[in-house]
Amino acid sequence: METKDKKWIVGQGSHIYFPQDTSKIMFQVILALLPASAMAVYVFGFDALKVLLIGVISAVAVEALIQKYLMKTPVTIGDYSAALTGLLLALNLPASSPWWMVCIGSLISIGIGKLAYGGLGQNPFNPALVGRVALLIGFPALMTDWSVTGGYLSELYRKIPAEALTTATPLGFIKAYSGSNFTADLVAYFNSYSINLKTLFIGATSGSIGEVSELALLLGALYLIYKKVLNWEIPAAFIGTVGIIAMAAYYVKPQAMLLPHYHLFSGGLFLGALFMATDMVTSPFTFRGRIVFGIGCGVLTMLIRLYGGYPEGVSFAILLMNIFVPIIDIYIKPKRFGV
Amino acid sequence: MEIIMSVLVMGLIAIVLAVALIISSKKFHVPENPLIEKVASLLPQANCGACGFPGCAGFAKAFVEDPVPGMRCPVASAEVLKAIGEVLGTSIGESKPMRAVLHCNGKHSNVQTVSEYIGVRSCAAANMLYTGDKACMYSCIGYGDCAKVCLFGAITMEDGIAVFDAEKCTGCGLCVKECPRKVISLVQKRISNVRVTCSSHDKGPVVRKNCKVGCIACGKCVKVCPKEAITVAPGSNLARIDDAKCILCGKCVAECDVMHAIAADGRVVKAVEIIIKKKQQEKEEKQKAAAMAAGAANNPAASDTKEVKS
Amino acid sequence: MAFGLKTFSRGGIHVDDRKYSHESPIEKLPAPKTVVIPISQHIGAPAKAVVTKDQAVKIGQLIAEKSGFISANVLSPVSGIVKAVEARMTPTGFKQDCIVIENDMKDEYFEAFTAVAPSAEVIEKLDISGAVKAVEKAGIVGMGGAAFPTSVKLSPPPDVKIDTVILNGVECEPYLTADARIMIEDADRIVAGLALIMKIFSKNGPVKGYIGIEANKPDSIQKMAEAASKYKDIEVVSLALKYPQGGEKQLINAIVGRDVPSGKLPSAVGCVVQNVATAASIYDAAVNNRPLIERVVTVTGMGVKKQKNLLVRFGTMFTELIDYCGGVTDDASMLICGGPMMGKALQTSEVPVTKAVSGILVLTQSEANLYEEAPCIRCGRCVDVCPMGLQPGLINKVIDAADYGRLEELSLLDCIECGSCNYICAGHERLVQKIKIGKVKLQEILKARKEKEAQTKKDDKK
Repeated sequence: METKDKKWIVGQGSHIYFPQDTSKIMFQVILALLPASAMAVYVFGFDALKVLLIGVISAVAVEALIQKYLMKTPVTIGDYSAALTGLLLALNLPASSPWWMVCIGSLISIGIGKLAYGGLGQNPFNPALVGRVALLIGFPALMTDWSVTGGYLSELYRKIPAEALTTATPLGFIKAYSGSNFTADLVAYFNSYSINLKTLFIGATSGSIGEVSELALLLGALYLIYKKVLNWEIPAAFIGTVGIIAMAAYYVKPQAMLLPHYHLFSGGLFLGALFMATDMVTSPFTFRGRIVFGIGCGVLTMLIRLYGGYPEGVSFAILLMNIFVPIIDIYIKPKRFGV
Repeated sequence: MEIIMSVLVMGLIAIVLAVALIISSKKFHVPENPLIEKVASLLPQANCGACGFPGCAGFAKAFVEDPVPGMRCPVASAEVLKAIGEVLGTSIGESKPMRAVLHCNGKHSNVQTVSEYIGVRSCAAANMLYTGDKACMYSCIGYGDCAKVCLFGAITMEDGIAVFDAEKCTGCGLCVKECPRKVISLVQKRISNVRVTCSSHDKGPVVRKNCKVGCIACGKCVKVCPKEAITVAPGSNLARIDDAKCILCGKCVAECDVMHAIAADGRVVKAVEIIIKKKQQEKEEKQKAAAMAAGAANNPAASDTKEVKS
Repeated sequence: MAFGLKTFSRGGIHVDDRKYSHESPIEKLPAPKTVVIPISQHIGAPAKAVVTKDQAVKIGQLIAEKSGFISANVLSPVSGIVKAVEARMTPTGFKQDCIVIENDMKDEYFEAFTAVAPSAEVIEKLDISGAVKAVEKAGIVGMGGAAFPTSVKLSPPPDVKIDTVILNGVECEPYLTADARIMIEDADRIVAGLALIMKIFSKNGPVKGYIGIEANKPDSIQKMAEAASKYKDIEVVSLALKYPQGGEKQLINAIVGRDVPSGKLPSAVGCVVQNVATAASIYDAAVNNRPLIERVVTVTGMGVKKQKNLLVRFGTMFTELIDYCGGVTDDASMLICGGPMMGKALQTSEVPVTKAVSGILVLTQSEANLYEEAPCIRCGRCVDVCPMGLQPGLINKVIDAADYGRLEELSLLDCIECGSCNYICAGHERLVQKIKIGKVKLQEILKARKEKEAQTKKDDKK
């Protein structure tokens, strides 16, 4: 073709681009969650697989349906963000969740948590957490039913005292009996109990699907940090703060407090810190802002765990800190050049 | 016991806050001229900002406290202005109702496309970048900055140009300010409007190459106008109609039959049709007459035809 | 990234440098039959045409004279007849007044020139008093892309003390290799030019000279270091690969560690930055009385058949350069004047090479960013990469909301429009374009405020 007559495309620079765009980021996060999902299926059995699949499929379906028939905007399920929200929601549910509860969770996550605010990038709260917290408040019994029907964990449970672990997470158990006269005994029991750091870390405690294996979560997160999708600041600040507060609390009152590693490895801390708090849409822009955000999440988590009404506070802490993100963005600015 | 405690605590908080509110409302009270509210309530409440003040309340405040001659609400009707005048005890100069029109007909089907634009869908952005994806660098860009800024929903984008709804347009002039190419202008709101739908200052041949419907400044319309309302400013290569002088006869519209660069709307359209029909009839009659003359001239000597030709 | 190399402290991106034409030596393109010379090829007031139609001109003859302090002369690059003075499309993307000259192919010069080879002794002996005037006469402007009149840069106000002259051989824009090739093939002339600039400033005290080159051009570094070893106080600095290292403020920060304050010029911290090609032409003008009539242009991108570095006369059409390189491929989709980060996309190749054109880049569909905008997911990468420490994502949202008053507190006017945020954006948002709109709107607000303040001052006096 003649150079002279060629019809060119005109736009403003930069004219080249970084290939890591929205859909690739979302897809990589999903990939990074696969080890944790696989571990969940290993630990909880077929139940976990069922919840995960229902979560993803229902989230994608809800997004497509709402965008097509209610909002009448282009359907954007191709950017994987709905699938990711569904997966994260499912990882935050117990393995025994009935299918309809997962679907309601997806509906709340995508419909109210995300699309009601205008879709991807506009939501102030992490959509998956909005869904989880709504379910936690709406169906408290189902959401804390940690009964297990299959998988590795049911094997494990035969060997250990049933009353200790079958119906509650360690954090939940302590919370349920806090204030009663045998708290100290229970604490002593847990603290001396043979669930050592290793078991907790690799994954043998009861809890939500995704939170059992910190090792698998960490593997996924390291992959994302390597791919520059994930910022290390929020997880580091979040987990560090929780660790410091847990340790301080233990040394102040060792007879009434769990060992710090229960706080670190037995709840949803790693799932929350690595994959929920770091959600780009609902975390601050700047490096220092992210540190503040992480510390805030850690402090709120420990406040809820130690003094609040719920045994687990990660979800609430992240949602509460999400509120502060716009303020953090305004007041914590990056250091400007030449000022 | 717990219930009583909580009721007491909540009640106490309520009382403390209520007292604080009462004190602050008294202490920080800013006396405001009651007239301002009255005037504001009479204004259109579109908060379009066309008057240059932040919304209708801002205009009312400025109007009551510090009126400047020439200050007006471009949107308000004559009755509203009269009512405001009554409230203030003065008379306000009437503002003629205006409407916005587009001086371009650069639809995609009319003007050549020379490139593809990718980027922010905003006329201002595209205009900053280059001469636009249309061949004519004076044309309506067509990304709808005017439609975005219009508070009355009077502008729609169709086939790459802005289309104005004369009924909905209030003549606030926001679109005129917003347009980076300055192809929109305000005219009197009358039963109709006649305008040159081109803004190109290019010379005739360039216009013809770029666009099917551009003004080539041939000057035919200037000659046909009975009121001398049309001028082609020297060097501008563009005809312009003085809206104040135009009597909406439609003759220029009918005259511009090659490039179709003068458009009319409303009732004049019909008048134009009649003129064109008449012209056609005249032309046909002339042709017939010529044919007959030719037919008659065929028989006599050839010298006659020569005479006709010369 | 090699450790231990100097680089600037804040932000920046690592781009695949794609220097396809680095190995291809500079080729001289024959002078064209007609040249089109825009009278405004620089930042500042456009020059005033001093020739008329049908007038005969020679190489180096003044055809448009500088008007105002920040402006530059325009000289004829060919000998021939002026055919027209009219508006033509230029690489700015708009039509501007141009002087069209038909080449008579005789290559007659207007004034005699010499051919003194560059060496330390030549500079030592040179009478420096006429140098700035010679630079002004030769119409030299910054050849890195911004085209700031060089004579203005070389004559700062008397109270400003310059102690550092930095030559910019960074060429941080991907694809472009013109400067790298000049440094390989013409190192002596460049270093002599630097010594000359240093001599101009040395009346107020000792001046140190640096030449900053990114580490991806080892051959350029070697040649320049060889040439620089013959002079004292000149150091070649190898810099780590990071964009936008070629920005004045970033380069000064990288080499001497000084931060130019917001809203100030490099002279505020005693520095002057010049492009390497500019330095070479300063030498030519001041020592040999040679006018600036040609420059090296990189023709590159996967959209051209052969990537080359060409020495071309000003006013040569882009089309000729591209066709000399074998023409465009079928999937070529964008034509860019300059580099891929800050270059200007053009709608036609019928525009002339001007003093500021460092490269002609033809991008294919797969190379170019042809994505439509998707929503911002607040990934924050734009904030991380911004070399000026701004928050492009937040600025984008503020502009979308038309809340232009807030842009001032976000220090929008500091933006150097390097395009790093635009490059990194996960949503392919056109951040630079938005920022440009925002800048215009903010300047309107600031101007209105200034006028209002002046008005109130006047009223107070009354």
